Amino acid sequence: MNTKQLAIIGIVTIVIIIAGVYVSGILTNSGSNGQNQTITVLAGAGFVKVTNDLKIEFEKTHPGVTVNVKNGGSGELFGILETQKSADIFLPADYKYMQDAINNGYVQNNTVKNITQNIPVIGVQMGNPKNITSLYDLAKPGVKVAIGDPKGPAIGKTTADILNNTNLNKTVQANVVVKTTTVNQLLTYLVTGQADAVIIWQDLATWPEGQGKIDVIQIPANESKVSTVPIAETVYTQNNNLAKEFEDFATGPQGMIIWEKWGFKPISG
Amino acid sequence: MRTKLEITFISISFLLTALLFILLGSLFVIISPNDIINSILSYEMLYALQLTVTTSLIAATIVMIFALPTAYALSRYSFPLKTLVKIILDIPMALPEIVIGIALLMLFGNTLLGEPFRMFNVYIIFTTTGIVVAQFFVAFPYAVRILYSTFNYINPRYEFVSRSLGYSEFETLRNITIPLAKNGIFAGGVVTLARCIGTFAAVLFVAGGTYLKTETLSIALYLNLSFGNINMAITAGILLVIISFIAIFFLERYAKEQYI
Repeated sequence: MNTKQLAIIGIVTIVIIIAGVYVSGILTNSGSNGQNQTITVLAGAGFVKVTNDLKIEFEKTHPGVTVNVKNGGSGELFGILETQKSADIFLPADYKYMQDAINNGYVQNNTVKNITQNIPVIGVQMGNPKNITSLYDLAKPGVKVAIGDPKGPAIGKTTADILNNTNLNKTVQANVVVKTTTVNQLLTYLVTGQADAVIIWQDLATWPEGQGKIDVIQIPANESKVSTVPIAETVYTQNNNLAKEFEDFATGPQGMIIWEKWGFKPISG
Repeated sequence: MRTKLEITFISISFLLTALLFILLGSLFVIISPNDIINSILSYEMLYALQLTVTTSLIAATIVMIFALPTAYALSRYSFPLKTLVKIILDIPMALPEIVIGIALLMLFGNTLLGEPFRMFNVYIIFTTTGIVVAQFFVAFPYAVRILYSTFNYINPRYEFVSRSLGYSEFETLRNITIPLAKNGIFAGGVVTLARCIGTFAAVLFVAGGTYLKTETLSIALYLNLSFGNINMAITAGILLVIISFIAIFFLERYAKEQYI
């Protein structure tokens, strides 16, 4: 008797669970007719502050719309586009990734726009205890350098190019203690004292996390490599109009206020 | 004739086993065998494999050296604050590994322990030494747990008899306790080694997860996923599954169940 009841309870429970999962799946998929719309933005990890603000402002003016932002290293985001073939907006930290996406046919070519520039700088601890004045000082003995991985985030690719152009690759590499997959980790390592010097985007220096804890040393234009930040709609978007609206918003006057707030300069002309 | 309860419960076990099997099997069917072979033979994967095996063996050995006396003390002696010691030793098992990682990063970084270690030229953060340190802290509680149960299963009377026959404490340990605990020690070693091999978050934080420098198999999986090399990422996953299988196989085969 008891075993019979238990068996029935067991079977019923399993049936209920399966039915529940099934129904919830149907419910979440059926809400996409005009009321609750979502768009997914793949954005460079360094833009996390910007995309948060863009999300808040865009959702304010578009009731019922949810903006999902996935921040990550540009290489990782490109991998997501490649493998999952979903998302609506692609916003990598360097034009190279956009060029790769165009070549592979992942984005709509006529929607590619340049928003701002990303300027690499040397970040050091407040007061510059290691007395670093230029790229060449990164090769000095006893300086712990942290850089982005050349295959991962945009800053890694840019850093590799800068070091190659200045023939510092060999000497600086000897001082590299860690390579990261996002630019944000570099700021963390610098602030917590795990690294003496990092190469990061200039805008990161304006973040509260770094305020009063880091100093910035500019890299002269002839040694540097400024990268262009592009944005585009992907070919996988399910909601072209909304994706276009978001892109126009991010590149328009309201969006520009947000970019400038976080230390980015709009591309003039 | 089985009862309905038996049939139900056995069906549930089979259902979940099938689910797990499909889950792990899915790794093997996504990419072609050719891609798997090529990825395994790549310099990066061989480096990660060798680094993982080396660091795990070192870490597991150190864990066992310290866990044996710790577990024996907890099992046999009573001493002040014993309950507290047991709780603190167990905490890391319930803690997310990532918390151990950030705690170690802060401890050995620029603060408490970092300076004295650096004076002796021992660098932990962002080094292969750091991998071993992270693995040690993640695996140690598991080893203590298993060895503690093992010693609890052994009747202290054997040890008393040995002592009353005039054998020293050390001889008793060598002739009675260790041989009786052999299976449990073996099981503890296998679980410890498997934990060390699988450690991810703690290793990522402490050793930095740098390509071809502190790249263990689990880090290789994560890095290649970030780089968009899906083949390499899945292959790293497959290697970890195979290693776990071997570990579990030895565990089931050579360790008697009562000791685990």
